[in-house]
Amino acid sequence: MSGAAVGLRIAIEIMAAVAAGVGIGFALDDWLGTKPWMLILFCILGFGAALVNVMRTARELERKRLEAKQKAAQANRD
Amino acid sequence: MASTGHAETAKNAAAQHGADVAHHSDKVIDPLHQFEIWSILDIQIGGFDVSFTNSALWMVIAAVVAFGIMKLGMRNADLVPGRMQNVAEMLYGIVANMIRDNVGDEGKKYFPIIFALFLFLLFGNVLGMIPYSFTFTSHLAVTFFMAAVIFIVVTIIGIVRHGTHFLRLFFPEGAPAWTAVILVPIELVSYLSRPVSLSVRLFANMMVGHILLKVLGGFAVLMGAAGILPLTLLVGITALEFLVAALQAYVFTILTCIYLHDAIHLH
Repeated sequence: MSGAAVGLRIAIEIMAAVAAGVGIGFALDDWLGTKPWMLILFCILGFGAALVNVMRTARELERKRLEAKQKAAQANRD
Repeated sequence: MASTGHAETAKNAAAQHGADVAHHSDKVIDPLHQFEIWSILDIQIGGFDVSFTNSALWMVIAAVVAFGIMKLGMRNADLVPGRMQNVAEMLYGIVANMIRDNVGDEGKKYFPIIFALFLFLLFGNVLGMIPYSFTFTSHLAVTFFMAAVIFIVVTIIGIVRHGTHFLRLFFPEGAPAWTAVILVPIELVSYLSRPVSLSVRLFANMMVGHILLKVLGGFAVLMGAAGILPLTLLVGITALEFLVAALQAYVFTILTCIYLHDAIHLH
């Protein structure tokens, strides 16, 4: 995967988590009438989830890179 | 699959379409024109606008082409495959390998739905590369609907298989119990962000690529003799777009497999 593709993937991962947090916050505020506290809380949780998502994505990409490297080394030895 | 969300856009687009016609007679770059939805056949059911739009038309075309290729490839199946049979077997092999590697043996019974999903997206993306066609995957309404259905179905599969044990997905093993106060809401939001990232990835990639093609094409026309430069670039970008079209269908399907794996095995 090229650098731009990795960048876009990570950017979307962050955006999605924050968007999901904001969406849940808005919905809960609307439902419970606690404007704006749920939005604030879920914004923060959304940023936390974004970090978790990015870490998972990075770990997965790293694992894939290592696997490809191992495969290449195997091919060289044969 | 012409959703009601589409219908709203269709109405607005139809109104705009008329106003824009005068615009297109002279050289004006309008890279967003290709994403306009208009109604081909007006249908109203119970107050809902469920018109047959150009988007729906290309969904039908994608489904028919996918079905046709598989049917044609398997019509007289030989031990030594012909050209069409090779294509059909290759597509089958891609999805079969993907499910075996990412979901495991339990994933086999979900093969038909994942295969259909892959073919629908692949032909939707690739047929969208034909000039004057319509790329239905470049609309968030379409991709989000698909991602939401996948998300709900996968969650139901997880709950049915594991019952309340499914909730372990939201708490990493080995963490101290008091951290649940922070970790569970974060994991929950992270889980709920899956359909958003799944749909936005496909939609953004398709939309960006198609806008880029149109903008560069507009430059090639407007720059006169110097337009040869964006034109050469356009050739390369078109090749790249075909790659992106196939790759994004693959990525959408592989992520569906990974979510299914999580629901079945809980990490």
